[in-house]
Amino acid sequence: MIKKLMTLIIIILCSGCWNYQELNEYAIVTGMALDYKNNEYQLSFLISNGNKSENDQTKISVLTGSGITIYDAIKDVSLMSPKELYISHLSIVIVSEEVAKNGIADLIDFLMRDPQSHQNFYMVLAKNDKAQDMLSILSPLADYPSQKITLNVKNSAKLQGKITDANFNLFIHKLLAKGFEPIMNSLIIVGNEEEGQTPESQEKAKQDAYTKLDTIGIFKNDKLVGWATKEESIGISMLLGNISTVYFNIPYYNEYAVTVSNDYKIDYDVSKDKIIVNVNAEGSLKEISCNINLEDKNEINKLEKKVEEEMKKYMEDAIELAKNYQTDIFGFGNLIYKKYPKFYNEIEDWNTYFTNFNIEINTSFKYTSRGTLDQSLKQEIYE
Amino acid sequence: MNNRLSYTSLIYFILRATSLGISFALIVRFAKQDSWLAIIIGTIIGIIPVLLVEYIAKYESDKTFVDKIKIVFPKSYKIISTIMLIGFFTITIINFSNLTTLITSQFLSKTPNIVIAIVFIIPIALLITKDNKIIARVSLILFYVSIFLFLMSLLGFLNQLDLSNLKPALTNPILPSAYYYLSFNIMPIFLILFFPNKDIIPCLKKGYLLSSITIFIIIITTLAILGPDLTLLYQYPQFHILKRLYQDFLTFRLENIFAVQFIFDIFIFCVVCLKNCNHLLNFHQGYKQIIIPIILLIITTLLFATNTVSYTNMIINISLIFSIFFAFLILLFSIKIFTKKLIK
Repeated sequence: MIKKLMTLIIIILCSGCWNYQELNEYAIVTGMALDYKNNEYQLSFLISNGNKSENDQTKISVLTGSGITIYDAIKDVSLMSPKELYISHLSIVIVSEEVAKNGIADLIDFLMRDPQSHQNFYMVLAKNDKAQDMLSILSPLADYPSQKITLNVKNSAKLQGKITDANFNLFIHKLLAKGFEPIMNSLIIVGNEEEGQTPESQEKAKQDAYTKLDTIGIFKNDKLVGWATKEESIGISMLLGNISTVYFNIPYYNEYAVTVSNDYKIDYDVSKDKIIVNVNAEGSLKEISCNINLEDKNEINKLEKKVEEEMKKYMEDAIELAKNYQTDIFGFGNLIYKKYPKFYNEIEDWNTYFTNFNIEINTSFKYTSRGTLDQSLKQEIYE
Repeated sequence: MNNRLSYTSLIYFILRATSLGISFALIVRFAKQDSWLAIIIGTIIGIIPVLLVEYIAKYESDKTFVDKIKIVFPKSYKIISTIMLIGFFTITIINFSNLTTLITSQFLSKTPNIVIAIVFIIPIALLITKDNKIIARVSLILFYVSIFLFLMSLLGFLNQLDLSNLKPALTNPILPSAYYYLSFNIMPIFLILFFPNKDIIPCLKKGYLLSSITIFIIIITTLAILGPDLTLLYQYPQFHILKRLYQDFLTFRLENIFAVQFIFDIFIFCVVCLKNCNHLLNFHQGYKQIIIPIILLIITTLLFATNTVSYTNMIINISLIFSIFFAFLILLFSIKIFTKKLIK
């Protein structure tokens, strides 16, 4: 009797029907944008599972709500949505410059605390424009704007050093670690943003507007304090060692020799008064606009020295920038803390101490390939 | 061999339950990145109670543990049994509420705790009506699943491990963490005594070692991936790291499947605890056997399941009090047996 009763209860309870909800009852959020307006958060959600259009394409929708807290703003958005908001598939969070300057601890707390949040998304800063506008710019190259931005970050981080592959997890890791400050990629809108939001814009070969990744934003704790230039962004990525490919336009004989480094190694010699950064890189020539003999070993050696100098300059500029903002985005303090914890703990404020801290950079670069051409084309033409 | 593996798996689950469920946060709170060292120290010192339990199990090995209590403590048998009963039942409530909290906070935030509690209490109640061999066999099946999930998740974490997160070493108090790890291990070790001595004795050290190794790996993996700061911040960091499998290892989200290994630990622990309560109450047949699970369900639902905030510190304090009691009891039991043997 007991067994029969138990079996019956198990059948009823374990049928998977508790809180049963069809997928189309959820508004699947794939992008989120946070702005400030009238001292309130303005939160926008990109809903990616709208009804299908005539040509069988899923329509997207951007809903914007406001509130004094993040949750308050979400609840305001949910008043507009006929479906329940579901943030498990969030892939991009765009934060406006204004919000970032005021601090994003509230947003991070919410995203970490919510059980629905999977925390595998990227965070980017909206540079010069409103974050919500970026969520609405359509692209023919991806189904949703969020997908376009995510793939853009992933691929750009892989293919060039200007962009960092820092996702949300890495951001909070740096935010909490001792002697480390976070950084974040930024996004800009190129073109007419209003026209870029229309489906007609997608039909054109040349779009009216598109989003483009820009330079790195520098944080101190949870607040945005400044921006890096393109060169400084490369320097930051190089010093963090999280790049797989980086390119340099090397000025040579009033022209350029474009060099790509695709084998990049970095190690640090840490002592209490100095950190020596040793960079060993290998790479290949991608484009040569100067007239040089590539079979001449001296020329190659000279070019390699130039690359080394350029790499060093990028990194030194990045360090200078970080020192100016008094924020150790490279985690040198973390290296000191891990090796000399007592010494680190004696320092009152590492970021202030960092401004006078000695960092030495040694670079070494070797060419391993000249591409598919053995010689400079200009050399052949003008000789 | 299979029988031995069944009991080894049973010990494996029992010993992992409290360490991963309750004491994990405490271990990391004090030792932070040195927690792995606290586990090693705790495991080494923990061999002492394991040996003592083995010594107790070997004494009059043909008799049940309840009979042994009657022999060793003929006058205070009832008091000791009552305290043990309260202890087992309290620890079960704590672990069971921890199980429902884990599920409501991480997987099913909209499902009422009562539903989760009922879903688990039914198989628990069903299993405690069976004899020890069946419980051991069930745990063996779960063991295979658990080990497979454990190894798969470990494989997925390999390229995410950042061992520099374990630096600086030896900068935090290790001994309090080792003490907590040890304390929370003593009571589960004591639970094992209720199983048939001849089955349990050969598996005790193996089960202990296996559970310690997996706990060590889980703690080192969690710290290496999250770092000490994030590990301290999350409610269930050991579950949280499973979310990261999605990034590099899996193209789909399976963290809930991988987290089942933690649920198995607590499930088997609750079964064994309640089974022991039935032993102490002499509830061996009929409807009596499911009285304890029903009381557990009611208490858990009424007292704990609706609140995940206020009982954390209470759990720690209560668990520690009972751990001290069981440590004292193991010691006293061993001394009594030793003196009895000496007199003979």
